[in-house]
Amino acid sequence: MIATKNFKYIFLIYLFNISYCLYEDQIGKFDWKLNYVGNVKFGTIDSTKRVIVATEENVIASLSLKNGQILWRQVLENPALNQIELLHVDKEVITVSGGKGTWYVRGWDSSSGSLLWEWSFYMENKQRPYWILSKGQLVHIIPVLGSHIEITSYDVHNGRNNGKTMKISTPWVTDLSKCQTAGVYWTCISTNDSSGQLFYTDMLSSANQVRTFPIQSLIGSAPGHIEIKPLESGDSNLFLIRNNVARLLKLQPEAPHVYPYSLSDKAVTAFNGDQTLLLQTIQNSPTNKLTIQTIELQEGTENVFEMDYTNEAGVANIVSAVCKGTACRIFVKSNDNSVSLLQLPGGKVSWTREEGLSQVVAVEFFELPLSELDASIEHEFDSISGDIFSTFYNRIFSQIRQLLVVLSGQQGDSNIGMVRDEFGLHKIIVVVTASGRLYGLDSMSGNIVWSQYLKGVEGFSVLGKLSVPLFVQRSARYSPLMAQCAALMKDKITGHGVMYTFDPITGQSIGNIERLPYQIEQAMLLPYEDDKHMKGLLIMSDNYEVMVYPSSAKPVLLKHASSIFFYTAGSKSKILQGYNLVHSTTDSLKATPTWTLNLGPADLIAVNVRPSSERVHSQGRVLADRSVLYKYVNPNLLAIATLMDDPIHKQVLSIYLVDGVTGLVVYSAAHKRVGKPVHLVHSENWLVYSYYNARFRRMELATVELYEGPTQSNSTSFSSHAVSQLPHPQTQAYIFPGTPLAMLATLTERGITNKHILIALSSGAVTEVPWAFLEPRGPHGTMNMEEGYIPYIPELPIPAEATINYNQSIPQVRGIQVAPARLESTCLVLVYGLDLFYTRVTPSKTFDLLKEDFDHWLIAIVLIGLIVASYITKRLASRKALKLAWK
Amino acid sequence: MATNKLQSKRFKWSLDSSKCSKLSSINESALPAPPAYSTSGVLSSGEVAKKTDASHLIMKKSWEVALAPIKQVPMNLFIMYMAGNSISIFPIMMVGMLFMRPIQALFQLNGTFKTVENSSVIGQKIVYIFGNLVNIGLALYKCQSMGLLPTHSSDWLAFVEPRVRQEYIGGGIMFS
Repeated sequence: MIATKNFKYIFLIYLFNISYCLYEDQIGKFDWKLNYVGNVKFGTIDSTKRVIVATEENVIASLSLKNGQILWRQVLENPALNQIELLHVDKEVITVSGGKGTWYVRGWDSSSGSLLWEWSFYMENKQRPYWILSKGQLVHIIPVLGSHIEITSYDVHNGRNNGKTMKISTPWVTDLSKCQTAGVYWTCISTNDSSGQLFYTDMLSSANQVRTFPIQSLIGSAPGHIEIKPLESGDSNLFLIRNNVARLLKLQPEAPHVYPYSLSDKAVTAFNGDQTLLLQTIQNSPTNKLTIQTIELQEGTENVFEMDYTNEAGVANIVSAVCKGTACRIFVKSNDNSVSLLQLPGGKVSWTREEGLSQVVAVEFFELPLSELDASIEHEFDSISGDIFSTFYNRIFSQIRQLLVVLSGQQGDSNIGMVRDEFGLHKIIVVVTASGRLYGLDSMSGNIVWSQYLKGVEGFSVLGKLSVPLFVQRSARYSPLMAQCAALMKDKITGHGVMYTFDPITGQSIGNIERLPYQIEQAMLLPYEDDKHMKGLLIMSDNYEVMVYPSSAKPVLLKHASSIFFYTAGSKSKILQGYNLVHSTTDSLKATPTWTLNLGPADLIAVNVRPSSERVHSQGRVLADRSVLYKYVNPNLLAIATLMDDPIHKQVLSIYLVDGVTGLVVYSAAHKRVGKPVHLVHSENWLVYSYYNARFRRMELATVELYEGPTQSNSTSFSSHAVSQLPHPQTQAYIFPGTPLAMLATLTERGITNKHILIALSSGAVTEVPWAFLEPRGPHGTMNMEEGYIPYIPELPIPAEATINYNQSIPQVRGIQVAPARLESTCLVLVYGLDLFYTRVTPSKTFDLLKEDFDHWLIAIVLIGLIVASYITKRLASRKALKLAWK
Repeated sequence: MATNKLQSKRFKWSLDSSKCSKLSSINESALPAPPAYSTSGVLSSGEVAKKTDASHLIMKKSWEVALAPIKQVPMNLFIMYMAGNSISIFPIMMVGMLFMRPIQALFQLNGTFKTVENSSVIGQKIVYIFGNLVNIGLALYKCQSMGLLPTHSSDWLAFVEPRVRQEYIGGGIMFS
């Protein structure tokens, strides 16, 4: 028994071995990886060599001051639950991170990034604490409103608790938004106007003396809302902000010192020897360039520098700065989350890191246009009416041009390189980030080809995730016409829809950013093109009105209104609703509800449809008796996952397959005592989903496959309305020894190639699982073995060879996007999370491509040699025959 | 001179008994016939016998030719049995031979029966064709048992076109 089991494993590993692997010299040949640190939260320039940053992604990293490259990077726990709350850079880097009561205090070596020490503690109180780190003491402060604050101090290196938790009576703490820590002081204002009081107390002294000063006496009385804000990297400095004008206070044991400068609340201090410099950005500069003002704190000398920094997103704040003499280096963060290092007094930008790319929310691959030359050859065939002479002239002309291009050795085009290659492997990847910037990435190198910042917009929040739907309205195939892509977003303030149409190849906006006068509920790309090969975009507003953009697509929609259907799934209302457009007239489009599906108390957690461009090559599955089981390939099938709390089974996961046209529930299943994370992959006639089995405490993958039966009811066309009988489902479940963060099936041009499922694991690997391993065997499999049949093993192996990113871990993966190349065997993959990783996968190996070590020269030489040899021997033979005849 | 020489050269090896009357008279009158030599009647009857024997031989020969394919059947059956049903190079070559030989034979039908021309061999031809067809049938049977004949629906699966969809669907989870 054990022997057979082992044999099966060996067999499996053998199968894996023949399907993938990468040679050492192929590293970086088909793939690239861009490393990011995330949205910078804290940053300190620790010496003239590096800047230490802590980010929203719970990452601590060191960037080189010279070129901005990552010197080291440590990815900490899941950022959804844990955040870095304190970064202190001294001889070593100290961080406090965590959340929900569990806190980790860590010390890092600032030059290598290795962990020096670590300790953690747990607090019953889940409230977010305040932290002060001074003189080797870590102070943990929990304020209790209206009563007292609890102070616990620890030795930062080993976590020894010096004495017990102290309680200071602070009845003046009424609102946490009015309280801050500044250096070693805990400080509050009593009211948000000039009549209030400023309280502060030293957290490290044992005296616990509370100082009180009326705000009037500090900054004078004037009407306006007053806020307090601590100074980034400041000592015991504090801003009192009134009407966007900040005054700097230095808190001292006796009385606070008020500096007489009007500042912005985003000013930072930099130490220049024993002098302290204040730096701030000036927003309203006459030119559009960034201007930085420096103020010497003691003497009050002001300098204004104009920077050579052009970023339409604008600078959000100065994170950190360091000065040496007159030269300063300023680390700034922009509104698009990119970070830059600026130099004073020159005003140069040393480097910029596009950290926005660590928060990708939407990805789409776009085909590149033909090169100008290829396009001209294509145009030869455009004029159908051309007579023989003009066609001949065109041919000669384009051939001469081709020859000239070959002779001159260049493409003679402005966008060199951004043209379609033979195998369609070169694409442009359009990426939308959470900060509202769109990037065009070259798929060959990962270089940024273009970028565009959209002000005042944000993505939609769908099931707790940001989402920006991208629609390909026209591909680059129709050469003189530009490719067009539409992105839908919403206005940050009003929540109304924003439609941005652009050329994905150049990034140029087509028309203006269209601000729609309503909220967008859902949108769909029409399947039909108009006479300019443009696909219309159908948008449903919040009051269920239907609009079509551009308006030229309206006649097309009306023509095909009977075949276009629409559905919405409400995550709050928990109702699925189907619509048709049959009742539309030329005046108004009308979406008529046709079916509803009430999910009851269950929470909607995922809806998945098959990729619209997917093609299914094989229409059935061959059984052992050589009969065919036809697949139930329904392009309108929606896969829906819901999770419901249950008093007995804790949580119940339900999976539904619903026909989106008729609302017919084709298949449903329920799993008891399971939980999140749930991922769905829906492709061809099957569905794979992963869930956490709370009963056995493991991740499981379940698969469903739908078959029509041994005959096809209609072999030429598929209609959801023609239901003769329900499809036969086959199911199977597997234990998966990993935690999936994202799952997706590969996609190829014609669907001939096998399907693999790409699974991004929490360990940082992205692994490929062949569909053949997951295929439900059902009664057909067990009865009689098919050829190439893989026996069922409950626990799926994750062989190291199946990891497509070999040893390059990708932390915090948020999603995977695939696109077919024009080569049938190849599928392009972009994995996005904290990093971006791009590669190609070939699920059935490169069956349509010669190997790269194929010896063209040898073959050619052998062939030519043989031909030459055969001619020589022929001649020799004829000579010999002649000689013989003369004898 | 030259012609004379040529004639004498020819005469050197030819003996014309009709020209030399003297010799013939001597032959007939004086010398007895050699033993087992008969001058009367034998020639005609012998000629007739020779003629019937040849046609009989041709018939026999033609039937042999006609029956050859049928005689091959047991041998083919044995080869088929020995080749087995696995698909590999040798059984495939054997199946190829099983097919090729009768088909070639059918194409060369008239050539085969040319040696026995000018007599009617329709019966033999029919038998010959029948024998070859039996052999082709055997080859087909072999293909069938090897699973090489596209008789199952799965063999035509690759030619089944994807079905054209009648409806299109779009939408998703509501944005607000």
